[in-house]
Amino acid sequence: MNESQFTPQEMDLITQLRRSAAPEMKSEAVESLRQRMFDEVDIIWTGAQPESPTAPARRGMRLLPLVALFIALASLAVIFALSRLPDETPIEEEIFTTETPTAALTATPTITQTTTPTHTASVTPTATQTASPIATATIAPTSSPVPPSPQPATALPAIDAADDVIESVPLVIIEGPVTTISEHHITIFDQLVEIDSVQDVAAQLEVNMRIRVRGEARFESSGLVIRAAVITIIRPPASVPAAPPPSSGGRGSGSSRSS
Amino acid sequence: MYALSDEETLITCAQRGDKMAISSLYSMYVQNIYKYVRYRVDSEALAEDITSEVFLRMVRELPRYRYTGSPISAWLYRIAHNCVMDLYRKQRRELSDELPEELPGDAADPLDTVALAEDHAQLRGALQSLSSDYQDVLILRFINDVSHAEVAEIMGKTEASTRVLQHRALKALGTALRAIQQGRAQ
Repeated sequence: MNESQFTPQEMDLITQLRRSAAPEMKSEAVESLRQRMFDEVDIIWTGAQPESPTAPARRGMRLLPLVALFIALASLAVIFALSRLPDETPIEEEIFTTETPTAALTATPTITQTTTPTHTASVTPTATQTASPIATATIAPTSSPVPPSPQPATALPAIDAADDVIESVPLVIIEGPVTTISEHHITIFDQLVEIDSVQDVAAQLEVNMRIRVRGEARFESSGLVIRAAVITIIRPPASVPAAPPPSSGGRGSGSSRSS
Repeated sequence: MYALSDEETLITCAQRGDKMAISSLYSMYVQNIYKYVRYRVDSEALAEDITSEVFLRMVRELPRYRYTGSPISAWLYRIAHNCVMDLYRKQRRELSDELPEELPGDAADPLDTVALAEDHAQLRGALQSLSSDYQDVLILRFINDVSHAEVAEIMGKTEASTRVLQHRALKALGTALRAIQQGRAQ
């Protein structure tokens, strides 16, 4: 650059700019970020493999909301059918419907899905999944000394008319340590969580922080995405020991992330 | 290890998830990106956050990156610029007149140190009062020592227009600095 083209005043400013303190990123921060990048590399390139050992479990996990929705619909159908049964006795009936669709598996992360009106499914992804929805309808007739009413009695399920409308989007709760954070998403293990609607809490998040996310699940081309509605910080991140200095090829694919 | 001149090979390897290549690219540019961001935002922590975001985005976007012959730093500076703009849009930050967190270390006399820090704070205050384009061109050209051609690539302008921009930015910086100095003198 030919500096003779600048006026003395401009040269003075340029000198000031060049002399101004040039802060450098601290070496701990540099190494910490390098490790986060390696973790991200593991996520991206491992996830891109055509068939990993956990792929069937992941596919199964993607089907969970559909299974939960199916169970809820089946339960509603049973309730509806019971409510339409011909009533031959003038006795008031109370119908208590209890549904216990259970698919309890043990592994982390734990995802709890709740679909209104009266359905609760606790599902945890593992390689094999078993779901055993059980719908139980208990009819408890109660005799009344009151003379029979001239009008035919009707079976009253303990459900509002408004409950006939099922939310098409299941509510999902996921709890675990934050593995990655980007502007619009975080991941808890490998589960993508969209955080646009909870930016205030999202700003406090850090990698390794244990959080609970409640939100809506939906399918996208990339798989199941949870849109966070509420984020609760369970535990701040565990202190991560300083990363070792960079070495030539010393870093393997195994990342030492503390949970 | 990869040669600096062989950036294309480095990028190709990085696009396949080669951690060594990614690490090399990161080591080459992390301090330059941090320096650029540090001059655009008020706090060290924020600058570190944005630098992190830049390089995490780099990792995520690498598979889609197309090498065009220009250094990858131009792309990284653009990401950094976008991150800073996102931050400005979110926070509408007021001009901060806090003293810099790191004092220049080349002045032995404490009085000189204070004077230099004050000069530096004034300079940063003046710099941050300029428009985003002016800040970009001054930081890239005179603090990060980026060539006119690369500045043009980063800013999506022609080389001639970045020269004009640089001239106007210097003029505006002089005016802003004088205003700050006069304000402090009164």
